[in-house]
Amino acid sequence: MDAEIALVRRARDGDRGAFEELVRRTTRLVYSKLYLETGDPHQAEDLVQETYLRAFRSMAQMTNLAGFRPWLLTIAQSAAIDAYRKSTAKRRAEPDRVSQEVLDHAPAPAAEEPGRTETRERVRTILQSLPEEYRLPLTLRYLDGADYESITMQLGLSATALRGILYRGMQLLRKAVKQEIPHESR
Amino acid sequence: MSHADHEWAREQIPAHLAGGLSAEERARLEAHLSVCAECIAEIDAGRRFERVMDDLFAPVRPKPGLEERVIRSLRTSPVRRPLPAVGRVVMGVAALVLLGLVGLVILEKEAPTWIIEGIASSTGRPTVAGPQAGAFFELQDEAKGEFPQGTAGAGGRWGWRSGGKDGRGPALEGTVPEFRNKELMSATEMAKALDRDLRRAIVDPVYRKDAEEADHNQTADEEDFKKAKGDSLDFVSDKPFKGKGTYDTIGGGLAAGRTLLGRDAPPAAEPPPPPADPAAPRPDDAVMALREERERGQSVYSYRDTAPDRPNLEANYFKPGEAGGKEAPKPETKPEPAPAKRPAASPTPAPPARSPQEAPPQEPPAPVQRKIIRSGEVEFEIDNFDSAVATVTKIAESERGFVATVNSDKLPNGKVRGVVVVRVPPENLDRLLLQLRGMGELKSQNIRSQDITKQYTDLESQLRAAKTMEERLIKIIQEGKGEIKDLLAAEKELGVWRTKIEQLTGEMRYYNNLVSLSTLTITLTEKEIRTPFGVIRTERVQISLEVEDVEKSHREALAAVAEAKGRVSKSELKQHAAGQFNAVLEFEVAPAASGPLRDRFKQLGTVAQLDVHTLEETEGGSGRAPQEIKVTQKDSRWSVSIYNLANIQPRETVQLNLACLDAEKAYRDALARAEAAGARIIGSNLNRQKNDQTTGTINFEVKDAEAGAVLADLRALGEVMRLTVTENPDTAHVTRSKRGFLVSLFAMGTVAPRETVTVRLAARSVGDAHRALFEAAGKAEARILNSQVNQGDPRNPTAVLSFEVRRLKEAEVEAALKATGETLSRTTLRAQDHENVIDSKVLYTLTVNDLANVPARESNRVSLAAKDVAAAFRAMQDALRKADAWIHVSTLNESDRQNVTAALTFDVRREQDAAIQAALMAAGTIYTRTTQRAPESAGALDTKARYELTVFDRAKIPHRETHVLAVEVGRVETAVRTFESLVAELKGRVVDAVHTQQGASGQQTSRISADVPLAASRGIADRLREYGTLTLAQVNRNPQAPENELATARLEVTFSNDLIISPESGPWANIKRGLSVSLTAGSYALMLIMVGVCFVLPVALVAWLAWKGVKKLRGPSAPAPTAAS
Repeated sequence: MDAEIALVRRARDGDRGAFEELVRRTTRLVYSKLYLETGDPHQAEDLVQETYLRAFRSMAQMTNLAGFRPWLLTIAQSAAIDAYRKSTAKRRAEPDRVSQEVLDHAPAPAAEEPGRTETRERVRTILQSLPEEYRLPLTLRYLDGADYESITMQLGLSATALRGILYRGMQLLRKAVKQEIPHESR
Repeated sequence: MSHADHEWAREQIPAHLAGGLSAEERARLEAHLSVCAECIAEIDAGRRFERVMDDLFAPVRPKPGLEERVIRSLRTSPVRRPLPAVGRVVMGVAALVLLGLVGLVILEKEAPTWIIEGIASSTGRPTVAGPQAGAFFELQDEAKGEFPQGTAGAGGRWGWRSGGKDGRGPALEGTVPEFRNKELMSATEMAKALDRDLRRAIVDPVYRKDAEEADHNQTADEEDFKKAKGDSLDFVSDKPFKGKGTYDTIGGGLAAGRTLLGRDAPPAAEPPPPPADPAAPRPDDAVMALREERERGQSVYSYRDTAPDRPNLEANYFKPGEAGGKEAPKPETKPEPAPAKRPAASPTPAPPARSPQEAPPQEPPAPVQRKIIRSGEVEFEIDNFDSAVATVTKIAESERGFVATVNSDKLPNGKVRGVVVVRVPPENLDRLLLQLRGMGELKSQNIRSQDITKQYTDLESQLRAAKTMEERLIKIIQEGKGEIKDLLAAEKELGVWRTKIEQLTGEMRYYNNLVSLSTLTITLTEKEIRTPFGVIRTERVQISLEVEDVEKSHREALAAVAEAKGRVSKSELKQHAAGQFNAVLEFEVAPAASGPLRDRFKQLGTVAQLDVHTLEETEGGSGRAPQEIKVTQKDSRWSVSIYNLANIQPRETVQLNLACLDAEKAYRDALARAEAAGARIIGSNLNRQKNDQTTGTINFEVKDAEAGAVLADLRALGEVMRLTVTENPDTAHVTRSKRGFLVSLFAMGTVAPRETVTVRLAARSVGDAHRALFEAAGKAEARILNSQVNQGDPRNPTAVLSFEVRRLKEAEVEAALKATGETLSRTTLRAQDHENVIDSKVLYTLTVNDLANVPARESNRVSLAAKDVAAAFRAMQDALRKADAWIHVSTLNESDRQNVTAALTFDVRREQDAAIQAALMAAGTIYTRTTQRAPESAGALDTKARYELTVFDRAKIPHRETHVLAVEVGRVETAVRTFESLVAELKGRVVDAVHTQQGASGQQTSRISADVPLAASRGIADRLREYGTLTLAQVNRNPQAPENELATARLEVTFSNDLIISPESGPWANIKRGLSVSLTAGSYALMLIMVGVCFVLPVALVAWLAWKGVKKLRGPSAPAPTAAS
């Protein structure tokens, strides 16, 4: 943990390499967060880039070195909100044509069986409704398919601390999924 | 297998699935799994769930290398590292300084002129911007290429301005410059309309003329043409010169229009040509004439040019008459221009060739010989008739005429009047008249012409017929055919016709005679023909006599007339009412007897009127009579009027108004006096209501001799208020022999006095004073009008008394007034001396006031400082009682023991003033004293004085001086002790003492306030200097506090063992100054920045808007690629 604080300090003082190291450590987390918020992988990825740009710009103003992840997530959250606002504003300005275009050019879910997208959305909703402490670890686990080590790194947690979180989160998730989508959890 | 182990294993399953277990843990878990089917199932379920989730989320998983992509984008995107805080502050300051500099530049340089001009031109009001704006417009014009030359442009530009005012013509210029301006637009439109009219005016007449030449009968669009031309005429004739002048300034296409207008429009301005008469026999002639005229370059329709020729035509008119038997000139022989002029002269062009029979008789080229008789009458006034006749004869003969008849009359006054008839050839008549002018004064002239052509022609034809008849009859007779009877009849008939022929021939000869010789009748009158030759003188006498006995006088008058051998034409005697007799006598008497008779009448009575009137009448004329002239005296005519005076108004009437003590007695005396003088009393009247209100009037007439004495006696009866002597207008019905009197008598009481004395008195007892005055008035025989004592308010009794007293007794009243009380005010009013007031009595109006209520002239405001206020108050009260003073206010206020005050307001008599002063001295010390004297005019008493006394504690006297002293001493306690003893020594007292000690610094301060007598405070600063260093010595004087033996001084001494610095000096002032300077500078800088912002902001705003616009234009294409990707 102390190593990471040192990294954050170096990044704050303008060390690009340190910041890039931080980016590597947190990208998946941010991605998970943004995917949960938006439900659109492309937009989420765009927003990830946006988030880090913003973070890099305002890095100098960071005061709580230990709270780098929450700070980053806050930036991600506001980036998501901004994006949402922009999209609604655009939709209001040019109502039908653009949305139609978006629909036409939407990634064709031909390979997927029908209903998969819907299910995914429902699972995402479930994930979002989970208590905050389980939400991101579980998302990292299932959305990214991240392994235990990578999850701990992304979350900045100790290996033991994650175990309980994962177990209890899993219980909650499976229960919720069983309730919501019974056929998926045979 | 323990339960705990199972629990642990269950917890580890998700971690195990994620591959997060260490080797040891994994071994332990696998050991447990081997025995726990439940956990195996759990793991299976977990694996299945994970697979499901994997399936579900695999498509949305980020592609591998997400981190690298992010880092790459971070590296490529232009990340602007935010400036460190210091850098940002520096940038901000720099920006502010820049803005401030911009503001400074703008303010320093003032507003650049090009900005102002830009603003002015954008508002579109050239008048505001003046010449610069003009230049602006000029630039615009040039840019448009409308005006190749700047000057022309300017001319045009200013032209439209004046054009708009002057009218439509000059406004035409406005068509050229096209400004985006409302005013200009309207001018342009107007000009356009004009342009249309102009074009019509130019084009139409040309067209019209062509059409006219082509076909005269074509009149279909005549009306339209006229209308159009009328419009254009309006425009052209309005201001033709102005229009032309301004056209020069217009370049380009209008130049052609101008030249057209200049040459062709003026003919169009003339009235239209007379419409060709289709029925005219030879219209082509007229057309040809028109054409000829145009070729000669003359105006076609200017028929006015021929006007001067007209008199010639008229002159010719008479000439043929003289020709007698001459032939009238044929139309063919007429002068050349006639055919051209004739059609213009008359609305219907007459063809030049016309048969003589058809010509109207009044036409000058009449084919028939005219027979005109000219005759006339002239009247002259000449000096001598005979020489005049000779002159006339001579002139007539020189003009181939002769004198036909001479008639003359000699008048009684020797003057001759006569008539001469002259016959002369008609053509010489005018010349004859001119020559006759020189003969004498022309009184009147009347020349006539009579046209007898028709009668003459008739006679001619009759004669012709008769001659034919005669020839016929002669032929019959010569042939001798038929019976004798018929022949005889023919003979007879022939005789008839011959007679007729003779008659006609004679008549014609008579006419010829009249025509060939004009008849001029000259009336000659010698000058002064109205001079008279005789005078008749008649005397008229009118006399009026006043007599005692009319009847007797009448008889005597008749006798006198008879004696003078007069002829009485009227005599009457009348008696009227009131014993009035009138006699009238009219007679004629020889002029010689007139004088004696006049003397005789004068003895009969008083001559009131005598008119002698001599009338002279001239005979034979009304002019001035010559010296030697015959005078005929006729009988004198007399008219005598005799009357008595019973009912005749006196010429002079005296009106007398008298004011009498006893009107009734005076009335009786006056009546007695009038009767004694033998007066005729016409009316008298006594009106007695009360003894002092009696009035009377007497109207009488008395003989003139007695009148003076009567008037003198009447005047003695009383005081004359009015004496008027009226003279009637001097007519026949008034007489001087008696005098009228109209006496009015008034009792004294009814007449207002002229003088009114208003006195205000002050007395100790109002009632007594009133009584005394009332008695005094009674003793002085005054007439009391009003008496009143008002004691409703016992403290303020008043009395009023008014009476009239005779002048004689005035002194008595004045004495009584002096004795009764003191006079506060006295007003004597003398009314204007008019007829209704008398001077022999005086009206007194007295008001008596209580002495106590009258303010004193002198009032003293005393404030007394006493040691014991209550004691002083009591002492003063005792003193006042002793001095018999009026105490108005008396207060002792002991509510505040520390501040006892007392107030006393009282009046005291002058003589007691000294005692009061002494008492005041005894009671305390006089602190202040103000004495005020009311102005003399105010109703105030001099015999008493008012005091307003305030007594207060002497300890409350405010300090005269306050000494603020600060002393730096070694030991504060010692200094304080020494100072306190000093105060005691100076007979002062310590009021307050504050001791403070500041712990850490050990600074000690003592503030001591002490009051000492003012005298003792002098030099206190020097005394304190002995204690240590005197750092502050300040003296404040209270100007309100008086400086006397009671004055005190307050000492405020601060003893300290440290430096005491006055807060009003030192670094604090500098700090304040610095702050204010920085504030000023700051506000100035702020102002500069704001000016800079104001300058930059609009530019920035425009730039932003432009950027936004560009973005919006490119907007729709931008999102497409993202959507596609």
